[in-house]
Amino acid sequence: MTAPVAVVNFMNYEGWEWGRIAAGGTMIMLPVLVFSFVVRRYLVHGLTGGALKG
Amino acid sequence: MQALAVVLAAAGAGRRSCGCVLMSFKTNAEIFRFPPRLLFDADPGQLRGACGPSEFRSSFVNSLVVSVASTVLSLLIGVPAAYALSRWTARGRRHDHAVDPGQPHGAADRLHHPLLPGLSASRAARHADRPDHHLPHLQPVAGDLDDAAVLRPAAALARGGRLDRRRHDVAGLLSHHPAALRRPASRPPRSSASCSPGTTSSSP
Repeated sequence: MTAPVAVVNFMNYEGWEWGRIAAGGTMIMLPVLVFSFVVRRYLVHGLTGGALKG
Repeated sequence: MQALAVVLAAAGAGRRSCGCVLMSFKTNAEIFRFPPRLLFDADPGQLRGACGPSEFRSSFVNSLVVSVASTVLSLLIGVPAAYALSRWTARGRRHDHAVDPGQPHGAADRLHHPLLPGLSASRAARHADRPDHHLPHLQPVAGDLDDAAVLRPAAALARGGRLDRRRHDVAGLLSHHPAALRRPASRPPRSSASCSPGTTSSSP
C-alpha cells in the first residue's frame, strides 16, 4: 500500500482525524518539494532546453 | 499590477496546500475552532502521530521505494529507446508502417486509413502504385531524407497550410530538411539577351 492510500486509514467510524490526514498529506508532499528544490537548476535547464516555439 | 496577479494566482493555487500544512501543525481543538485563528501555537503532535509506528509509516517508505524504482526503470528503458528511435527506423516508427504494403488493398483504402492523415496518405498512395515494393523498415533515417517523392508533396502541403506538422512524422523529415519548405525560387525575368538590342526589358 502506498502513502496516499494509507491516509484513508485515518478516516474511520469514530470520525475523520483531520489533523493526521493533513499531516499525512504534508508528509507526502515533502519529498517531492525537497527533490524539486534540490534539482531545480536541472529542471529549469531541461524545460527551457526542450521548449519549442509554437 | 502584473506582480499582484502573479501573487494572487500563486495564492489561489497554493491555498489548499498551505491549509494542509498549517492544519498538520494544529491540535484538534485548534482545527475546529471558530472563528479560526491565523496565529496559533504550532504543535507537531499530528505529524508525530502520523509518522509513528503505524501502517502509514511503512506505506510512506513503500511510496518512496516505488517512486524511485519506477523513475529509474523508466529512465533505463526510455533513454535507450529514444536514442534508438532517433537513430534508426523500425517497424511502427512511421505512420505508413501501419499499412502492410504486401496487402492487396487499393489506394483508397490506404488514403482513408485512420493512421494515414495528411501527407502520409500520399506516401501510401505511392506505395500502392508499386505493390511489390516493400517498405525498408530497418534502414537509416538518412535514407528517408533523400526521398524526394516524400519531401515534394510534404513541402506542397506545408506551404498550403494543409499539413499539421506537429501531428505527422513528415514533420520530422521536414525539420531535418528545411530546404523542402522553401518556396521554389521565382524564375528570373527573361534575360535581356533575348531582347533585341536597344530595347529595355519591362519589369513585372
